[in-house]
Amino acid sequence: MNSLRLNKIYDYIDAGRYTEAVDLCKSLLTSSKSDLVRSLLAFCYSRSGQLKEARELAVELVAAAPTSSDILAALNLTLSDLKEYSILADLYRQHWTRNGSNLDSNAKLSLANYTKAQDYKSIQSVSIRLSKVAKPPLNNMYAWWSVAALLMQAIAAENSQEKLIALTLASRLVDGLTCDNAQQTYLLTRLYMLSDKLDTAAHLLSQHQDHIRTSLALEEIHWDVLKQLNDHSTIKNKARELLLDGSQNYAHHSAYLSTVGQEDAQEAVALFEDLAEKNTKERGHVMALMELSKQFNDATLPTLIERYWHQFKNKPVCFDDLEVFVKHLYHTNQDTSALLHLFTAALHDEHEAQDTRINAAKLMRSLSITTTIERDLSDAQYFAQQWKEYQYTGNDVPSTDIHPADDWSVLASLCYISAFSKSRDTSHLETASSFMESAMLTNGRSYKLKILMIAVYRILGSSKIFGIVRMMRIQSVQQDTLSHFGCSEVSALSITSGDVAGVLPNTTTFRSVWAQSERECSEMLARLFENGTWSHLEDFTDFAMKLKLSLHKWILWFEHVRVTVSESSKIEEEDLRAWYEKLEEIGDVDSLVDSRDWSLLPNWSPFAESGAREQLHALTYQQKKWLRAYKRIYERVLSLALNKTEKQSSDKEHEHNHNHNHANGEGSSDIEEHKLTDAERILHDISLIAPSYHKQGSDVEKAPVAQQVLEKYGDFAALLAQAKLPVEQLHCVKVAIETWSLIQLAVPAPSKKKKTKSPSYPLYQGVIEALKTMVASWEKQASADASLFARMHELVQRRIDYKNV
Amino acid sequence: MTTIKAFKSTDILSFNKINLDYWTETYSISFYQQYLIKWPDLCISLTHPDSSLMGYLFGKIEGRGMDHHGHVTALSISPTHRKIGLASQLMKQFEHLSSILSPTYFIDLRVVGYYGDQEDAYDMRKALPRDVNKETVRQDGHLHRCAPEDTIFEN
Repeated sequence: MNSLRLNKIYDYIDAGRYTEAVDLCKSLLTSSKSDLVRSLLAFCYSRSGQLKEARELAVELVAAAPTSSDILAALNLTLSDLKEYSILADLYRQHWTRNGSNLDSNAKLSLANYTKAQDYKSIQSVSIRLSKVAKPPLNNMYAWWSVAALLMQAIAAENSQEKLIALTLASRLVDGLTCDNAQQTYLLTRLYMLSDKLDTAAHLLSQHQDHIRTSLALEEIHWDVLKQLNDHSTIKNKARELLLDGSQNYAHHSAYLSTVGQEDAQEAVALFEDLAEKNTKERGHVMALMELSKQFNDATLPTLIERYWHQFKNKPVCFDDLEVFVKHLYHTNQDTSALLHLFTAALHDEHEAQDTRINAAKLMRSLSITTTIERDLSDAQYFAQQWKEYQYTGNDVPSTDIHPADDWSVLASLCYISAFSKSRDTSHLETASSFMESAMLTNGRSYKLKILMIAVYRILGSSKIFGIVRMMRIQSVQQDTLSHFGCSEVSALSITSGDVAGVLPNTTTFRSVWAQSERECSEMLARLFENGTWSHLEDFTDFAMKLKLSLHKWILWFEHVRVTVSESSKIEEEDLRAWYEKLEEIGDVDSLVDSRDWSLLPNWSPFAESGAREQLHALTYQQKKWLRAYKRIYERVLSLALNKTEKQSSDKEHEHNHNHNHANGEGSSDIEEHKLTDAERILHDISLIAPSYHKQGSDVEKAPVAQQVLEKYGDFAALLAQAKLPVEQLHCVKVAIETWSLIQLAVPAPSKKKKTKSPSYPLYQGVIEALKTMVASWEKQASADASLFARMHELVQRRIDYKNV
Repeated sequence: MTTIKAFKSTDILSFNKINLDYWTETYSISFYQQYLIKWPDLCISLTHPDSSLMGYLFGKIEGRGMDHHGHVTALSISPTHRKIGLASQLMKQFEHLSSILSPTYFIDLRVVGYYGDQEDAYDMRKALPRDVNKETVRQDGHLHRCAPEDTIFEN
């Protein structure tokens, strides 16, 4: 092998020029079948996003049991990139076994990779072997690894027998171990808890009080053990002791409250009254009194709420603390008029502090129970006026901080939104957006305003939405919980992928944020084992699982595909294959986890009314059923485009639906539950009809199927005419364009030979006519962002010119 | 009405109300998990009964000899939950744990300019009981410069 050319490959890799490195590797491999070059090629494939090629080549190389350290290093990086930790672990294990040494680095690498793969059986088998040959203290460390691996096997066991075996083995192992620190005490406690040896767990913890004092995790698990033992007297005494000692941890209030029955309610009231009197700054004691009143449904709750109000009304947390109790009064039909009067008076009392008046406003709105449009608008004007008058309170506040008057602007905006939800009149949203834009000029730090603006812009079909999303600077760890505010149905508002650059995270390559997060989690799990931080073992596993099975990740992937499908004149077969493979990767939709955080949307609505999330709802929530239905649509269309056989279940569904018997089909239940939008349901129906076109042999038989597709496509025009909200109009047109793209994939274009006699000719011409007509009528009625509609019009013009593709 | 617990990785999925604040940095997952692995007892969360996260603290113990101290890496309270002494509560807890876990001489917290914007940091220190003569702190600390490199300690 020419070392100069080999060095050149390394230079390309160092510079991140993977495409050139791939070309050079391929060129070298034409004259020499060097495994080192092949391993570097696999690595470059993985880094340049050619994952399938990288995986195939790496697996081939592993099968040849390489021994060269250079090849192993390249395979290590490649298989780690691909998250193929099990293959890597097996490779190192083979080396370890072959070398005959019990403690070489291959054993550790094997163990680390089994940990990254969460292969707990293999971790246990390797670590138990190491624990027998290693010298102290390493032998002890590996023994604890085995115990932890057995605990995780017991948690993941599919049946009670498997669980019992794992726990029995773990119990035998711990018999020979001494518990030296809080982490080992934690692991052992969890083991006893899972084995239903709660007394043993309690005994163990009683011997390790010093560890409990320094570990909040151990303290928490201690309470859990006592609760599971129903040891009320110990819980009560311990909690009481801590509270009398000055504890401000509400976990201790909660622990005490969990033991209180009707018979000792007075004793509990006396305790918390005493504590509240001694420490008037601590909210927890008054909250505990309110909790007791709520629990026993006595008549003191309004008085206690009033007491809390007078003590803490100027704290921003006041509304959050009181909301649950005030809501309880409403739900139990108790008289809240005195409280409403109290809060209304405070709201209008100019001598009260601003924070007090803001809390009063939130509570007054909640206790209004329900409002009229006129009331919403007058409240909005009042709150907007307060926002204006209190602007001076931000004079000495740095521009990086939240403006003290921000919540007035949020309150005013919520009132306009409430008026919109009652009337569906978008002028209220336009007023809200103008107001919020002016509020943002004074101070742009309020995330509540930003999120509300995103939701309002979405309904108004305004492209300003993308600027606000970018302003939020969503970091990688927040993609799963925060980005949905800006990215839900983002395809409706974007004409090209340029619109969503920096908004929609790239989910198509392994470098995407979720893939990166998964790799980080795997790496950290291996380090957790090395450090023996057992209190976080289940937490790390749970967290990794939530990211791996993220629902939002797949929703965003679909949004990316939809934007691409709509803007591309021609989609390459390579892309279609990649999408098809990705669809298979989604797997079982039911197992996906929804971590989207909706609580960020401020919600101070009257109790009998829906919250801001529902009030600003349009189209669909894009939940699991939506994803499942959409996945099937694309599976059907891509199968046709790639000449693949559809999956059996999809075939059955097709037969079922094609016979116009939608009553019991699995796919139809998704539609009945309105998980797809009306426009998406047209696409869905077309995806069910299209396969029949291929099943027919002659043109005469194909023609009626094409006609059926065209008739269904005609529904888009009717839908657009009915659509009221700008986002609904945009969505309808965008799905019509998406459907047109998918029809082109599913039904072959008219052949040049047959021309107008092609069975698909009327369909293609008909769709173009339908799109032209839609655009013409929509131009007249479009009420949203003019530039967005103009660009959409251009897109339609471009997309109907299919003959030039 | 605040529950003090050990911070968990899954709390990362609900810390937006805290981290959307301008002064609160959002780090990579591995940053948070490194702390949870190495100093699980010094990573603390505050939770409201409605399950929302109110604030958190990430700390560590570092330095040798008289430099052996507890360091607060991140401390943030959500805007809604400010002005009720939560940060003090977290600092008291941290001070207590730093004294017991690995007896330290002081605890410190660095703010302003520590994040690479060319400014120096304020190195705010509080002596702990082990530092009987309070040798680790200065009364006129605000008059002394403290560069980022001064905040790197050997372990």
